[in-house]
Amino acid sequence: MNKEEFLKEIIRQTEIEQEIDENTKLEDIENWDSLAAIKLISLFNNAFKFRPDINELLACESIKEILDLAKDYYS
Amino acid sequence: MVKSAIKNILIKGISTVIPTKELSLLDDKNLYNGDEKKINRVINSSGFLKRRITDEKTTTADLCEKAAIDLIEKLNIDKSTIDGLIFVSYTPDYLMPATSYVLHEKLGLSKNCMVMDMPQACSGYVLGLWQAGMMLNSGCKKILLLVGDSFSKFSDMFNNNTAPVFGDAGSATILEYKDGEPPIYFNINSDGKSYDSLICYNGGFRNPPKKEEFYEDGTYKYNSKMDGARIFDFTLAEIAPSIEEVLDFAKINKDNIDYFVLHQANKFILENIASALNIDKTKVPMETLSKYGNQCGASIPCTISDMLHKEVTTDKNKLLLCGFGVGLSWASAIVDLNKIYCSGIIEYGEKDE
Repeated sequence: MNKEEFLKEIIRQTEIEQEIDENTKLEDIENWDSLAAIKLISLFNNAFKFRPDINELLACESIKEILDLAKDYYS
Repeated sequence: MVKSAIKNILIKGISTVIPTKELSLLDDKNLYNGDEKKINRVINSSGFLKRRITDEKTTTADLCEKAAIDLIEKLNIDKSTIDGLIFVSYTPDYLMPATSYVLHEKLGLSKNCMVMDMPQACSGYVLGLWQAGMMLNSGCKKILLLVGDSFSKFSDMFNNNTAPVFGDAGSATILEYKDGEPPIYFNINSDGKSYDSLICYNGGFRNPPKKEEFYEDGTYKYNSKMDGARIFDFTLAEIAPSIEEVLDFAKINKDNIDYFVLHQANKFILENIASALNIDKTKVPMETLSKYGNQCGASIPCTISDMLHKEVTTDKNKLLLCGFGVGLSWASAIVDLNKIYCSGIIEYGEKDE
């Protein structure tokens, strides 16, 4: 999975309904809550067989920071 | 981790009691200010839909007492032969004395009986079995294990974080010492590092009750919190490997397990564990949580009573039980249930307060 595909999966699985890009702040996403974080952890695990450090993941403030957590795993 | 194989334990019966009063997330106007879209998102993702909650007068001990009475009557047990009573719960009747003493009196048990409370939640049923197994191999002959919780009392109706999740229930299990019974295999783990992932901050002696912590209607703000993302991460990291470990320890192939009865945390967690273990999802009952909510320690006996009633009463079944949550704590056990008495689901209490 490449970075663009991963972003599309994030949007689909966390049910984001608004236009977003890498620079979008998580606090500006309407559906961004603990349920979205759970879906995101599952997505990392299923897509890359990798669990990011939970403290780093929960500290993310933007989509870019989330995408960077998987930078070593993109095809 | 603690791994142990405890022999000579016979599980004779399991009873489960739930409150009659039912709440549906679809009807709960307090949650998310009644925003249907948000509520449906929670239902679709977590699997939660309905839950049972106790009325004001009823406590966990009452539910467990009813379950115990059912077991004692149906199995025709001479109460004077019960020499151990364990009450596993985070929702006791009093801060002092232990609720097991209250239940000892209410059930009319003998003075030749050791009683104890164990404050444990989601892994409480497995930990209770382990404690009972050790007592049975140390002189006790018959143990009444009562496991239940009423987390609805911690979770005020306006707390979107915990209120949609928890349902109340009480269970009773009778275990006897019997020479030659094959071992129950256990794998038990703890990690206090994330103790605040699921926590009720107020009401203990660290934060004793203060006047400003009461709502206008007089109910107390326990300030319960659940860090759902951190708990989910913990379940992904720990549960499937710990289940593999107990299977290895017991030298039992997972194909020979009839059912994996997992704590009914939420559907998403259960599906992820089943996938990680590469097991047939029909062997992992998941329906209890949508009908009754997350019942903490009682979710395993309730799932057996509700979903596997026919199986365990008519045949021999090898079950892998796994509880996980508050602590953080996680514990697995492999047990044989061979034509036991099982109550099914018993309802108790008033429908509306």
